[in-house]
Amino acid sequence: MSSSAPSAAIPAEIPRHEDLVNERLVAWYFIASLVFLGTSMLAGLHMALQLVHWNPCPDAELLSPGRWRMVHTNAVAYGFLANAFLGMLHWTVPRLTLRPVASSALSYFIFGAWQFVVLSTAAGILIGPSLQDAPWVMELAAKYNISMSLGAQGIEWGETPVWIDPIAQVGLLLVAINFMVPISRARGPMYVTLWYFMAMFVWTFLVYAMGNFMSEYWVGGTSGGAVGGLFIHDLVGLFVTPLGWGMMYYFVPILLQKPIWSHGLSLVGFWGLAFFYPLNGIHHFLYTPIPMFLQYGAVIATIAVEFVVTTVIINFIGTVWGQGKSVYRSLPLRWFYTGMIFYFLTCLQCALQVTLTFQKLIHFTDWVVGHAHLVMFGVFSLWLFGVMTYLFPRLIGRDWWSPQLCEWHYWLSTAGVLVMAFDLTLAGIFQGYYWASLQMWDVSVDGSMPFWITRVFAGLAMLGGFVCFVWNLVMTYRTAPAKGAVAAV
Amino acid sequence: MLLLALVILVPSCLGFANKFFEFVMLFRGDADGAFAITPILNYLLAGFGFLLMFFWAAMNGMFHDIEGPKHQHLEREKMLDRGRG
Ligand code: HEM
Repeated sequence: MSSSAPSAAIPAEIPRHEDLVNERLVAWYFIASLVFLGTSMLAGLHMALQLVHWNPCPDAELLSPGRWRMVHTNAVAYGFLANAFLGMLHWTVPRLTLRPVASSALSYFIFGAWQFVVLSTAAGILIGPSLQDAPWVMELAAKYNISMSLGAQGIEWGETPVWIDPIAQVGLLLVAINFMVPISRARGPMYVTLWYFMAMFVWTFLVYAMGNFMSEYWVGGTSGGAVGGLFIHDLVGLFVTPLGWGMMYYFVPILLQKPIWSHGLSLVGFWGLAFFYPLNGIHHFLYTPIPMFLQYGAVIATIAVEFVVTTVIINFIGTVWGQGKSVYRSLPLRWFYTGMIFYFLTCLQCALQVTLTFQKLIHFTDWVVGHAHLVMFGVFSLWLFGVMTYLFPRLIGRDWWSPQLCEWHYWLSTAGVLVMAFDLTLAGIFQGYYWASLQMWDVSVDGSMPFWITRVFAGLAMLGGFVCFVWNLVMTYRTAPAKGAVAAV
Repeated sequence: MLLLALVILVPSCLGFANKFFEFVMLFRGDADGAFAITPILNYLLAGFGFLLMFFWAAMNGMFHDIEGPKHQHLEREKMLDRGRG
Protein backbone atom coordinates (compact mmCIF):
# COMPACT_ATOMS: atom_id res chain seq x y z
CA MET A 1 0.00 0.00 0.00
CA SER A 2 1.87 2.99 -1.19
CA SER A 3 1.55 6.26 0.60
CA SER A 4 1.41 9.01 -1.97
CA ALA A 5 1.98 12.74 -1.91
CA PRO A 6 -1.23 13.40 -0.05
CA SER A 7 -2.12 16.86 -1.25
CA ALA A 8 -1.75 16.23 -4.99
CA ALA A 9 -5.46 16.76 -5.66
CA ILE A 10 -6.14 19.32 -2.94
CA PRO A 11 -5.89 22.97 -3.96
CA ALA A 12 -3.79 25.20 -1.67
CA GLU A 13 -6.82 27.42 -0.97
CA ILE A 14 -9.77 25.30 -0.05
CA PRO A 15 -13.34 26.61 0.28
CA ARG A 16 -14.87 27.11 3.70
CA HIS A 17 -17.17 24.41 5.07
CA GLU A 18 -19.92 27.03 5.40
CA ASP A 19 -19.77 27.73 1.66
CA LEU A 20 -19.98 24.05 0.80
CA VAL A 21 -22.49 22.48 3.14
CA ASN A 22 -26.04 23.67 3.68
CA GLU A 23 -26.29 22.58 7.31
CA ARG A 24 -29.89 23.65 7.68
CA LEU A 25 -30.92 21.30 4.90
CA VAL A 26 -28.94 18.42 6.39
CA ALA A 27 -30.78 18.96 9.69
CA TRP A 28 -34.17 19.18 7.93
CA TYR A 29 -33.55 15.91 6.13
CA PHE A 30 -32.55 14.19 9.36
CA ILE A 31 -35.59 15.52 11.21
CA ALA A 32 -37.94 14.47 8.39
CA SER A 33 -36.35 11.02 8.42
CA LEU A 34 -36.95 10.72 12.17
CA VAL A 35 -40.60 11.72 11.79
CA PHE A 36 -41.08 8.94 9.23
CA LEU A 37 -39.15 6.44 11.32
CA GLY A 38 -41.41 7.13 14.29
CA THR A 39 -44.48 6.70 12.09
CA SER A 40 -43.11 3.51 10.63
CA MET A 41 -42.31 2.02 14.02
CA LEU A 42 -45.83 2.74 15.28
CA ALA A 43 -47.19 1.13 12.11
CA GLY A 44 -44.95 -1.93 12.63
CA LEU A 45 -46.12 -2.20 16.21
CA HIS A 46 -49.72 -1.96 15.04
CA MET A 47 -49.23 -4.87 12.64
CA ALA A 48 -47.35 -6.85 15.28
CA LEU A 49 -50.25 -6.36 17.71
CA GLN A 50 -52.75 -7.48 15.10
CA LEU A 51 -50.77 -10.69 14.62
CA VAL A 52 -51.18 -11.53 18.29
CA HIS A 53 -54.88 -10.60 18.16
CA TRP A 54 -54.46 -7.39 20.16
CA ASN A 55 -55.47 -5.00 17.39
CA PRO A 56 -56.11 -1.77 19.34
CA CYS A 57 -58.58 -0.37 16.76
CA PRO A 58 -60.38 -3.28 15.13
CA ASP A 59 -63.24 -1.27 13.66
CA ALA A 60 -61.41 1.58 11.96
CA GLU A 61 -60.99 0.85 8.27
CA LEU A 62 -58.30 3.50 7.85
CA LEU A 63 -56.30 1.93 10.64
CA SER A 64 -56.48 -1.60 9.26
CA PRO A 65 -53.12 -3.28 9.90
CA GLY A 66 -52.93 -4.54 6.30
CA ARG A 67 -52.73 -0.97 5.06
CA TRP A 68 -50.41 0.11 7.86
CA ARG A 69 -48.05 -2.74 7.09
CA MET A 70 -47.42 -1.11 3.72
CA VAL A 71 -47.06 2.28 5.40
CA HIS A 72 -44.53 0.61 7.73
CA THR A 73 -42.27 -0.61 4.92
CA ASN A 74 -42.71 2.40 2.63
CA ALA A 75 -42.18 4.96 5.40
CA VAL A 76 -39.02 3.16 6.44
CA ALA A 77 -37.54 2.83 2.96
CA TYR A 78 -38.57 6.07 1.32
CA GLY A 79 -39.32 8.22 4.36
CA PHE A 80 -36.61 7.29 6.83
CA LEU A 81 -33.73 5.76 4.87
CA ALA A 82 -34.01 7.95 1.77
CA ASN A 83 -34.35 11.19 3.75
CA ALA A 84 -31.53 10.34 6.13
CA PHE A 85 -29.26 9.35 3.24
CA LEU A 86 -30.11 12.55 1.37
CA GLY A 87 -29.15 14.57 4.44
CA MET A 88 -25.91 12.63 4.71
CA LEU A 89 -25.18 13.23 1.00
CA HIS A 90 -25.60 16.98 1.48
CA TRP A 91 -22.82 16.81 4.07
CA THR A 92 -20.43 14.34 2.49
CA VAL A 93 -20.47 15.07 -1.25
CA PRO A 94 -19.56 18.79 -1.02
CA ARG A 95 -16.83 18.03 1.53
CA LEU A 96 -15.38 15.25 -0.59
CA THR A 97 -15.44 17.19 -3.84
CA LEU A 98 -14.78 20.64 -2.35
CA ARG A 99 -17.69 21.89 -4.42
CA PRO A 100 -21.26 22.72 -3.39
CA VAL A 101 -24.22 20.87 -4.89
CA ALA A 102 -25.36 22.08 -8.34
CA SER A 103 -28.09 24.31 -6.95
CA SER A 104 -29.18 25.11 -3.45
CA ALA A 105 -32.66 26.06 -4.71
CA LEU A 106 -32.92 22.68 -6.39
CA SER A 107 -31.96 21.04 -3.10
CA TYR A 108 -34.83 22.78 -1.32
CA PHE A 109 -37.20 21.88 -4.13
CA ILE A 110 -36.15 18.22 -3.96
CA PHE A 111 -36.62 18.24 -0.20
CA GLY A 112 -40.22 19.44 -0.57
CA ALA A 113 -40.96 17.19 -3.53
CA TRP A 114 -39.63 14.12 -1.75
CA GLN A 115 -41.79 14.72 1.33
CA PHE A 116 -44.75 15.12 -1.03
CA VAL A 117 -43.95 11.79 -2.69
CA VAL A 118 -43.68 9.94 0.62
CA LEU A 119 -46.79 11.52 2.11
CA SER A 120 -48.85 10.90 -1.02
CA THR A 121 -47.69 7.31 -1.00
CA ALA A 122 -48.98 6.95 2.55
CA ALA A 123 -52.23 8.70 1.62
CA GLY A 124 -52.63 6.49 -1.46
CA ILE A 125 -52.09 3.36 0.60
CA LEU A 126 -54.40 4.40 3.41
CA ILE A 127 -57.32 6.08 1.67
CA GLY A 128 -56.84 4.87 -1.89
CA PRO A 129 -58.70 1.58 -1.47
CA SER A 130 -61.69 3.27 0.23
CA LEU A 131 -61.74 6.07 -2.32
CA GLN A 132 -61.46 3.66 -5.19
CA ASP A 133 -64.83 2.12 -4.40
CA ALA A 134 -66.67 5.41 -3.85
CA PRO A 135 -69.50 5.71 -6.39
CA TRP A 136 -68.43 9.17 -7.63
CA VAL A 137 -64.90 7.95 -8.29
CA MET A 138 -66.18 4.90 -10.17
CA GLU A 139 -68.45 7.16 -12.18
CA LEU A 140 -65.61 9.50 -13.07
CA ALA A 141 -63.34 6.59 -13.98
CA ALA A 142 -66.02 5.09 -16.24
CA LYS A 143 -66.83 8.43 -17.85
CA TYR A 144 -63.25 9.27 -18.74
CA ASN A 145 -62.16 5.67 -19.21
CA ILE A 146 -59.45 5.86 -16.55
CA SER A 147 -58.32 2.46 -15.38
CA MET A 148 -55.69 3.82 -13.02
CA SER A 149 -55.64 2.51 -9.47
CA LEU A 150 -55.70 5.11 -6.70
CA GLY A 151 -54.44 2.84 -3.97
CA ALA A 152 -51.25 0.87 -3.57
CA GLN A 153 -49.60 -0.45 -6.72
CA GLY A 154 -49.47 -4.25 -6.73
CA ILE A 155 -45.69 -4.44 -6.69
CA GLU A 156 -43.80 -5.36 -3.56
CA TRP A 157 -41.76 -2.34 -2.40
CA GLY A 158 -43.25 -0.45 -5.33
CA GLU A 159 -46.57 0.18 -3.57
CA THR A 160 -46.24 3.88 -4.36
CA PRO A 161 -49.48 4.50 -6.28
CA VAL A 162 -49.02 4.58 -10.05
CA TRP A 163 -49.87 8.27 -10.33
CA ILE A 164 -46.91 9.20 -8.10
CA ASP A 165 -44.35 7.06 -9.93
CA PRO A 166 -43.52 9.61 -12.66
CA ILE A 167 -43.04 12.35 -10.03
CA ALA A 168 -40.72 10.13 -8.00
CA GLN A 169 -38.81 9.21 -11.15
CA VAL A 170 -38.23 12.86 -12.04
CA GLY A 171 -37.25 13.52 -8.42
CA LEU A 172 -34.56 10.83 -8.64
CA LEU A 173 -33.23 12.38 -11.83
CA LEU A 174 -32.98 15.78 -10.15
CA VAL A 175 -31.18 14.27 -7.17
CA ALA A 176 -28.68 12.66 -9.52
CA ILE A 177 -28.07 15.93 -11.36
CA ASN A 178 -27.69 17.93 -8.16
CA PHE A 179 -24.94 15.68 -6.83
CA MET A 180 -23.31 14.54 -10.06
CA VAL A 181 -22.35 18.11 -10.96
CA PRO A 182 -19.89 18.51 -8.05
CA ILE A 183 -18.69 14.91 -8.43
CA SER A 184 -17.97 15.33 -12.14
CA ARG A 185 -16.02 18.53 -11.44
CA ALA A 186 -13.80 16.95 -8.79
CA ARG A 187 -10.20 16.51 -9.84
CA GLY A 188 -7.87 13.52 -9.50
CA PRO A 189 -8.56 9.87 -8.67
CA MET A 190 -11.79 9.54 -6.73
CA TYR A 191 -12.14 8.29 -3.18
CA VAL A 192 -14.16 5.07 -2.93
CA THR A 193 -17.13 6.82 -1.31
CA LEU A 194 -17.67 8.86 -4.45
CA TRP A 195 -17.54 5.74 -6.62
CA TYR A 196 -20.33 4.20 -4.56
CA PHE A 197 -22.44 7.35 -4.57
CA MET A 198 -21.98 7.98 -8.28
CA ALA A 199 -23.05 4.46 -9.17
CA MET A 200 -25.98 4.67 -6.79
CA PHE A 201 -27.40 7.74 -8.58
CA VAL A 202 -27.45 5.84 -11.86
CA TRP A 203 -28.63 2.55 -10.40
CA THR A 204 -31.45 3.94 -8.31
CA PHE A 205 -32.88 5.82 -11.26
CA LEU A 206 -32.79 2.69 -13.44
CA VAL A 207 -33.97 0.34 -10.72
CA TYR A 208 -36.95 2.54 -9.87
CA ALA A 209 -37.95 2.72 -13.53
CA MET A 210 -37.57 -1.03 -13.95
CA GLY A 211 -39.59 -1.94 -10.85
CA ASN A 212 -42.39 0.57 -11.15
CA PHE A 213 -42.97 0.90 -14.88
CA MET A 214 -41.79 -2.31 -16.52
CA SER A 215 -43.87 -4.66 -14.38
CA GLU A 216 -46.85 -2.29 -14.42
CA TYR A 217 -47.12 -1.62 -18.13
CA TRP A 218 -45.02 -4.07 -20.15
CA VAL A 219 -44.29 -7.39 -18.53
CA GLY A 220 -46.96 -9.23 -16.59
CA GLY A 221 -47.32 -12.66 -15.01
CA THR A 222 -44.20 -14.65 -14.30
CA SER A 223 -42.10 -12.18 -16.26
CA GLY A 224 -43.39 -9.42 -14.00
CA GLY A 225 -42.45 -11.62 -11.04
CA ALA A 226 -38.90 -11.98 -12.35
CA VAL A 227 -38.57 -8.23 -12.83
CA GLY A 228 -40.15 -7.60 -9.42
CA GLY A 229 -37.56 -9.88 -7.84
CA LEU A 230 -34.76 -7.95 -9.43
CA PHE A 231 -36.35 -4.71 -8.29
CA ILE A 232 -36.68 -5.66 -4.62
CA HIS A 233 -33.18 -6.86 -4.29
CA ASP A 234 -31.66 -4.13 -6.40
CA LEU A 235 -33.28 -1.57 -4.12
CA VAL A 236 -31.34 -3.07 -1.23
CA GLY A 237 -28.16 -3.75 -3.16
CA LEU A 238 -27.94 -0.85 -5.55
CA PHE A 239 -29.62 1.93 -3.57
CA VAL A 240 -29.17 1.25 0.14
CA THR A 241 -25.92 -0.77 0.09
CA PRO A 242 -23.76 1.64 -1.96
CA LEU A 243 -25.00 4.52 0.18
CA GLY A 244 -24.31 2.60 3.35
CA TRP A 245 -20.84 1.44 2.41
CA GLY A 246 -19.93 4.78 0.86
CA MET A 247 -21.01 6.44 4.10
CA MET A 248 -18.91 4.06 6.22
CA TYR A 249 -15.83 4.63 4.07
CA TYR A 250 -16.32 8.34 4.65
CA PHE A 251 -17.01 8.45 8.39
CA VAL A 252 -14.99 5.57 9.87
CA PRO A 253 -11.55 6.98 8.87
CA ILE A 254 -12.56 10.43 10.16
CA LEU A 255 -13.60 9.10 13.54
CA LEU A 256 -10.56 6.84 13.86
CA GLN A 257 -8.33 9.58 12.43
CA LYS A 258 -6.67 6.97 10.34
CA PRO A 259 -7.08 6.14 6.65
CA ILE A 260 -8.93 3.07 5.49
CA TRP A 261 -6.71 -0.01 5.56
CA SER A 262 -6.62 -0.55 1.80
CA HIS A 263 -8.18 1.75 -0.75
CA GLY A 264 -7.35 -0.78 -3.48
CA LEU A 265 -9.38 -3.46 -1.69
CA SER A 266 -12.27 -1.05 -1.25
CA LEU A 267 -12.33 -0.56 -5.03
CA VAL A 268 -12.37 -4.33 -5.55
CA GLY A 269 -15.49 -4.32 -3.35
CA PHE A 270 -17.09 -1.57 -5.39
CA TRP A 271 -16.50 -3.14 -8.80
CA GLY A 272 -17.46 -6.55 -7.45
CA LEU A 273 -20.80 -5.13 -6.35
CA ALA A 274 -21.27 -3.43 -9.71
CA PHE A 275 -20.77 -6.61 -11.72
CA PHE A 276 -22.21 -9.32 -9.49
CA TYR A 277 -25.07 -7.71 -7.66
CA PRO A 278 -27.50 -6.99 -10.48
CA LEU A 279 -28.08 -10.72 -11.09
CA ASN A 280 -28.94 -11.48 -7.46
CA GLY A 281 -32.61 -10.50 -7.43
CA ILE A 282 -34.03 -13.77 -8.67
CA HIS A 283 -32.82 -15.47 -5.49
CA HIS A 284 -36.06 -14.16 -3.94
CA PHE A 285 -37.90 -16.50 -6.25
CA LEU A 286 -36.24 -19.86 -5.81
CA TYR A 287 -38.71 -22.69 -6.42
CA THR A 288 -41.04 -20.49 -8.47
CA PRO A 289 -41.98 -21.04 -12.16
CA ILE A 290 -39.05 -18.81 -13.18
CA PRO A 291 -36.65 -21.01 -15.25
CA MET A 292 -34.17 -22.94 -13.14
CA PHE A 293 -31.14 -21.62 -15.02
CA LEU A 294 -32.08 -18.08 -13.88
CA GLN A 295 -32.46 -19.31 -10.32
CA TYR A 296 -29.06 -21.04 -10.46
CA GLY A 297 -27.56 -17.88 -11.99
CA ALA A 298 -28.87 -15.89 -9.03
CA VAL A 299 -27.43 -18.44 -6.59
CA ILE A 300 -23.98 -18.19 -8.16
CA ALA A 301 -24.10 -14.40 -8.34
CA THR A 302 -25.06 -14.33 -4.65
CA ILE A 303 -22.09 -16.48 -3.73
CA ALA A 304 -19.89 -14.07 -5.67
CA VAL A 305 -21.36 -11.15 -3.71
CA GLU A 306 -20.57 -12.99 -0.46
CA PHE A 307 -16.89 -12.83 -1.44
CA VAL A 308 -17.22 -9.15 -2.26
CA VAL A 309 -18.79 -8.46 1.13
CA THR A 310 -15.97 -10.33 2.81
CA THR A 311 -13.40 -7.99 1.25
CA VAL A 312 -15.29 -4.99 2.63
CA ILE A 313 -15.52 -6.45 6.12
CA ILE A 314 -11.82 -7.39 6.11
CA ASN A 315 -11.03 -3.81 5.12
CA PHE A 316 -12.92 -2.33 8.05
CA ILE A 317 -11.44 -4.82 10.50
CA GLY A 318 -7.98 -3.98 9.13
CA THR A 319 -8.72 -0.29 9.67
CA VAL A 320 -9.72 -0.61 13.31
CA TRP A 321 -6.98 -3.15 14.09
CA GLY A 322 -5.04 -2.02 17.16
CA GLN A 323 -7.64 0.63 18.04
CA GLY A 324 -10.43 -1.63 19.30
CA LYS A 325 -10.94 0.48 22.43
CA SER A 326 -12.02 3.50 20.42
CA VAL A 327 -15.00 1.48 19.18
CA TYR A 328 -16.15 1.17 22.76
CA ARG A 329 -15.36 4.77 23.69
CA SER A 330 -16.81 6.59 20.68
CA LEU A 331 -20.54 6.03 20.36
CA PRO A 332 -20.74 6.78 16.60
CA LEU A 333 -17.99 4.24 15.98
CA ARG A 334 -19.79 1.75 18.18
CA TRP A 335 -22.96 2.20 16.09
CA PHE A 336 -20.90 1.67 12.92
CA TYR A 337 -19.10 -1.46 14.03
CA THR A 338 -22.21 -2.98 15.63
CA GLY A 339 -23.93 -2.47 12.28
CA MET A 340 -21.01 -4.21 10.61
CA ILE A 341 -21.35 -7.24 12.88
CA PHE A 342 -25.03 -7.36 11.97
CA TYR A 343 -24.07 -7.02 8.32
CA PHE A 344 -21.84 -10.03 8.65
CA LEU A 345 -24.68 -11.97 10.32
CA THR A 346 -27.08 -10.93 7.57
CA CYS A 347 -24.68 -12.19 4.93
CA LEU A 348 -24.24 -15.40 6.85
CA GLN A 349 -28.01 -15.82 6.72
CA CYS A 350 -27.88 -15.09 2.99
CA ALA A 351 -25.32 -17.83 2.48
CA LEU A 352 -27.80 -20.30 3.99
CA GLN A 353 -30.89 -18.82 2.38
CA VAL A 354 -29.50 -19.02 -1.09
CA THR A 355 -29.12 -22.78 -1.05
CA LEU A 356 -32.14 -24.55 -2.49
CA THR A 357 -32.14 -27.09 0.34
CA PHE A 358 -32.48 -24.40 2.96
CA GLN A 359 -34.96 -22.38 0.92
CA LYS A 360 -37.26 -25.37 0.97
CA LEU A 361 -37.50 -24.96 4.72
CA ILE A 362 -37.70 -21.21 5.19
CA HIS A 363 -39.52 -19.95 2.09
CA PHE A 364 -42.44 -17.66 3.07
CA THR A 365 -41.69 -18.03 6.79
CA ASP A 366 -40.83 -15.38 9.38
CA TRP A 367 -37.15 -16.14 8.84
CA VAL A 368 -37.34 -13.67 5.96
CA VAL A 369 -39.00 -11.01 8.10
CA GLY A 370 -36.23 -11.47 10.70
CA HIS A 371 -33.62 -11.13 7.96
CA ALA A 372 -35.32 -7.95 6.68
CA HIS A 373 -35.22 -6.31 10.13
CA LEU A 374 -31.64 -7.38 10.70
CA VAL A 375 -30.45 -5.70 7.54
CA MET A 376 -32.72 -2.66 7.41
CA PHE A 377 -32.62 -1.79 11.09
CA GLY A 378 -29.61 -3.70 12.41
CA VAL A 379 -27.31 -2.49 9.68
CA PHE A 380 -28.42 0.60 7.80
CA SER A 381 -30.47 2.26 10.54
CA LEU A 382 -27.71 1.68 13.09
CA TRP A 383 -25.20 3.27 10.74
CA LEU A 384 -27.48 6.23 10.21
CA PHE A 385 -27.98 6.61 13.97
CA GLY A 386 -24.18 6.69 14.25
CA VAL A 387 -23.98 9.43 11.64
CA MET A 388 -26.75 11.42 13.33
CA THR A 389 -25.15 10.97 16.76
CA TYR A 390 -21.95 12.38 15.29
CA LEU A 391 -23.45 15.15 13.16
CA PHE A 392 -26.34 16.54 15.20
CA PRO A 393 -24.03 18.24 17.75
CA ARG A 394 -22.21 19.84 14.83
CA LEU A 395 -25.42 20.92 13.16
CA ILE A 396 -26.98 22.33 16.32
CA GLY A 397 -23.70 23.70 17.65
CA ARG A 398 -23.83 22.12 21.10
CA ASP A 399 -23.08 18.84 22.84
CA TRP A 400 -25.73 16.22 23.42
CA TRP A 401 -27.97 17.19 26.32
CA SER A 402 -27.62 13.73 27.84
CA PRO A 403 -24.91 11.25 26.86
CA GLN A 404 -26.80 8.69 28.98
CA LEU A 405 -29.83 8.97 26.71
CA CYS A 406 -27.49 8.39 23.75
CA GLU A 407 -26.36 5.21 25.48
CA TRP A 408 -29.97 4.15 26.11
CA HIS A 409 -30.72 4.72 22.46
CA TYR A 410 -27.83 2.48 21.50
CA TRP A 411 -28.53 -0.34 23.93
CA LEU A 412 -32.32 -0.47 23.48
CA SER A 413 -32.02 -0.41 19.69
CA THR A 414 -29.27 -3.01 19.56
CA ALA A 415 -30.89 -5.35 22.07
CA GLY A 416 -34.32 -4.86 20.47
CA VAL A 417 -33.23 -5.73 16.96
CA LEU A 418 -31.06 -8.60 18.17
CA VAL A 419 -34.00 -10.17 19.99
CA MET A 420 -36.37 -9.50 17.11
CA ALA A 421 -34.05 -11.01 14.51
CA PHE A 422 -33.20 -14.06 16.61
CA ASP A 423 -36.84 -14.56 17.54
CA LEU A 424 -38.14 -14.38 13.97
CA THR A 425 -35.30 -16.52 12.64
CA LEU A 426 -36.27 -19.22 15.08
CA ALA A 427 -39.97 -18.71 14.30
CA GLY A 428 -39.17 -19.23 10.62
CA ILE A 429 -37.47 -22.56 11.28
CA PHE A 430 -40.39 -23.75 13.40
CA GLN A 431 -42.93 -22.64 10.78
CA GLY A 432 -40.91 -24.38 8.05
CA TYR A 433 -40.98 -27.66 9.94
CA TYR A 434 -44.70 -27.35 10.77
CA TRP A 435 -45.46 -26.92 7.08
CA ALA A 436 -43.04 -29.60 5.95
CA SER A 437 -44.68 -32.09 8.29
CA LEU A 438 -48.04 -31.24 6.69
CA GLN A 439 -49.66 -30.14 9.94
CA MET A 440 -52.82 -28.04 9.82
CA TRP A 441 -52.19 -24.34 9.10
CA ASP A 442 -53.69 -23.41 12.50
CA VAL A 443 -51.08 -25.50 14.26
CA SER A 444 -48.33 -23.41 12.71
CA VAL A 445 -50.13 -20.19 13.68
CA ASP A 446 -50.52 -21.37 17.28
CA GLY A 447 -46.87 -22.41 17.31
CA SER A 448 -45.84 -18.97 16.08
CA MET A 449 -47.69 -17.10 18.83
CA PRO A 450 -44.88 -17.03 21.45
CA PHE A 451 -42.51 -15.69 18.81
CA TRP A 452 -44.93 -13.02 17.68
CA ILE A 453 -45.53 -11.94 21.29
CA THR A 454 -41.76 -11.68 21.79
CA ARG A 455 -41.58 -9.53 18.65
CA VAL A 456 -43.99 -7.03 20.21
CA PHE A 457 -41.65 -6.56 23.18
CA ALA A 458 -38.56 -6.36 20.99
CA GLY A 459 -40.34 -3.70 18.92
CA LEU A 460 -41.22 -1.80 22.09
CA ALA A 461 -37.52 -1.77 23.03
CA MET A 462 -36.59 -0.38 19.62
CA LEU A 463 -39.30 2.22 19.92
CA GLY A 464 -38.09 3.07 23.43
CA GLY A 465 -34.57 3.67 22.08
CA PHE A 466 -35.99 5.91 19.40
CA VAL A 467 -37.98 7.94 21.94
CA CYS A 468 -34.78 8.44 24.00
CA PHE A 469 -33.02 9.76 20.91
CA VAL A 470 -35.78 12.16 19.93
CA TRP A 471 -36.19 13.40 23.50
CA ASN A 472 -32.44 13.97 23.75
CA LEU A 473 -32.47 15.83 20.46
CA VAL A 474 -35.29 18.12 21.53
CA MET A 475 -33.60 18.87 24.84
CA THR A 476 -30.25 19.44 23.14
CA TYR A 477 -31.89 21.93 20.83
CA ARG A 478 -33.63 23.72 23.66
CA THR A 479 -30.67 24.05 26.03
CA ALA A 480 -28.25 26.93 25.79
CA PRO A 481 -25.15 26.40 23.63
CA ALA A 482 -22.33 24.88 25.63
CA LYS A 483 -18.78 26.10 25.47
CA GLY A 484 -16.43 24.00 23.37
CA ALA A 485 -19.44 22.40 21.74
CA VAL A 486 -19.50 19.55 19.27
CA ALA A 487 -17.23 17.12 21.05
CA ALA A 488 -18.01 13.65 19.83
CA VAL A 489 -20.06 11.49 22.17
CA MET B 1 -1.30 -11.39 -14.75
CA LEU B 2 -2.72 -10.07 -18.00
CA LEU B 3 -2.13 -13.44 -19.62
CA LEU B 4 -3.94 -15.20 -16.80
CA ALA B 5 -6.84 -12.79 -17.13
CA LEU B 6 -7.02 -13.47 -20.87
CA VAL B 7 -6.82 -17.23 -20.37
CA ILE B 8 -9.78 -17.04 -18.01
CA LEU B 9 -11.83 -14.32 -19.62
CA VAL B 10 -11.68 -15.16 -23.33
CA PRO B 11 -13.04 -18.72 -23.12
CA SER B 12 -15.67 -17.72 -20.52
CA CYS B 13 -16.90 -14.81 -22.65
CA LEU B 14 -17.02 -16.98 -25.75
CA GLY B 15 -18.83 -19.74 -23.88
CA PHE B 16 -21.35 -17.30 -22.45
CA ALA B 17 -21.98 -15.61 -25.81
CA ASN B 18 -22.49 -18.99 -27.43
CA LYS B 19 -24.93 -20.18 -24.75
CA PHE B 20 -26.81 -16.90 -24.77
CA PHE B 21 -27.15 -17.03 -28.55
CA GLU B 22 -28.52 -20.59 -28.35
CA PHE B 23 -30.91 -19.46 -25.68
CA VAL B 24 -32.23 -16.53 -27.68
CA MET B 25 -32.69 -18.83 -30.70
CA LEU B 26 -34.64 -21.24 -28.56
CA PHE B 27 -37.09 -18.61 -27.39
CA ARG B 28 -37.43 -16.71 -30.63
CA GLY B 29 -41.04 -16.25 -31.58
CA ASP B 30 -42.29 -17.52 -28.25
CA ALA B 31 -44.11 -14.74 -26.40
CA ASP B 32 -43.58 -16.40 -23.01
CA GLY B 33 -39.90 -16.84 -23.69
CA ALA B 34 -39.35 -13.12 -23.47
CA PHE B 35 -39.68 -13.21 -19.70
CA ALA B 36 -36.64 -15.39 -19.31
CA ILE B 37 -34.57 -13.06 -21.41
CA THR B 38 -35.72 -9.83 -19.75
CA PRO B 39 -33.67 -10.13 -16.54
CA ILE B 40 -30.57 -11.23 -18.45
CA LEU B 41 -30.90 -8.39 -20.90
CA ASN B 42 -31.37 -5.98 -18.02
CA TYR B 43 -28.23 -7.29 -16.43
CA LEU B 44 -26.22 -7.18 -19.65
CA LEU B 45 -27.22 -3.59 -20.30
CA ALA B 46 -26.35 -2.45 -16.79
CA GLY B 47 -23.18 -4.55 -16.79
CA PHE B 48 -22.09 -3.14 -20.13
CA GLY B 49 -22.53 0.39 -18.83
CA PHE B 50 -20.31 -0.38 -15.90
CA LEU B 51 -17.75 -2.09 -18.10
CA LEU B 52 -17.51 1.12 -20.12
CA MET B 53 -17.18 3.13 -16.94
CA PHE B 54 -14.45 0.78 -15.74
CA PHE B 55 -12.46 1.31 -18.95
CA TRP B 56 -13.05 5.05 -18.76
CA ALA B 57 -11.76 5.06 -15.18
CA ALA B 58 -8.69 3.01 -16.09
CA MET B 59 -7.87 5.26 -19.04
CA ASN B 60 -8.26 8.39 -16.95
CA GLY B 61 -5.75 7.30 -14.36
CA MET B 62 -8.30 6.57 -11.63
CA PHE B 63 -6.33 3.49 -10.61
CA HIS B 64 -2.90 5.10 -10.61
CA ASP B 65 -1.59 5.74 -7.13
CA ILE B 66 -4.45 3.66 -5.87
CA GLU B 67 -3.91 4.44 -2.19
CA GLY B 68 -3.62 8.20 -2.71
CA PRO B 69 -7.29 9.17 -2.29
CA LYS B 70 -7.51 7.74 1.23
CA HIS B 71 -4.81 10.13 2.46
CA GLN B 72 -6.33 13.08 0.61
CA HIS B 73 -9.67 12.31 2.21
CA LEU B 74 -8.33 12.71 5.74
CA GLU B 75 -6.21 15.71 4.89
CA ARG B 76 -9.12 17.49 3.26
CA GLU B 77 -11.34 16.82 6.25
CA LYS B 78 -8.73 18.26 8.61
CA MET B 79 -8.39 21.40 6.50
CA LEU B 80 -12.15 21.88 6.30
CA ASP B 81 -12.57 21.50 10.04
CA ARG B 82 -9.66 23.82 10.76
CA GLY B 83 -11.24 26.56 8.67
CA ARG B 84 -14.70 26.01 10.13
CA GLY B 85 -16.16 29.08 11.83
C1 HEM C 1 -41.23 -0.95 16.49
C2 HEM C 1 -40.48 -1.73 15.79
C3 HEM C 1 -40.98 -2.63 14.69
C4 HEM C 1 -41.96 -3.59 14.71
C5 HEM C 1 -42.79 -4.02 15.88
C6 HEM C 1 -42.03 -4.15 13.38
C7 HEM C 1 -42.92 -5.14 12.98
C8 HEM C 1 -43.10 -5.58 11.69
C9 HEM C 1 -44.16 -6.45 11.24
C10 HEM C 1 -45.25 -7.02 12.12
C11 HEM C 1 -43.98 -6.67 9.92
C12 HEM C 1 -44.87 -7.53 9.01
C13 HEM C 1 -44.41 -8.95 9.02
C14 HEM C 1 -45.32 -9.86 8.26
O1 HEM C 1 -45.94 -9.45 7.27
O2 HEM C 1 -45.42 -11.04 8.64
C15 HEM C 1 -42.80 -5.95 9.52
C16 HEM C 1 -42.27 -5.95 8.24
C17 HEM C 1 -41.11 -5.29 7.89
N1 HEM C 1 -40.41 -4.39 8.69
FE1 HEM C 1 -40.77 -3.95 10.63
N2 HEM C 1 -41.11 -3.54 12.60
C18 HEM C 1 -40.45 -2.59 13.36
C19 HEM C 1 -39.45 -1.74 12.93
C20 HEM C 1 -38.88 -1.77 11.69
C21 HEM C 1 -37.80 -0.94 11.25
C22 HEM C 1 -37.20 0.16 12.09
C23 HEM C 1 -37.49 -1.32 9.99
C24 HEM C 1 -36.42 -0.79 9.07
C25 HEM C 1 -35.52 0.09 9.36
C26 HEM C 1 -38.38 -2.39 9.61
C27 HEM C 1 -38.37 -3.04 8.40
C28 HEM C 1 -39.32 -3.95 7.98
C29 HEM C 1 -39.32 -4.60 6.69
C30 HEM C 1 -38.28 -4.40 5.62
C31 HEM C 1 -40.44 -5.43 6.64
C32 HEM C 1 -40.89 -6.32 5.47
C33 HEM C 1 -40.44 -7.72 5.71
C34 HEM C 1 -40.83 -8.68 4.61
O3 HEM C 1 -41.72 -8.37 3.81
O4 HEM C 1 -40.23 -9.76 4.55
N3 HEM C 1 -39.22 -2.64 10.66
N4 HEM C 1 -42.30 -5.29 10.61
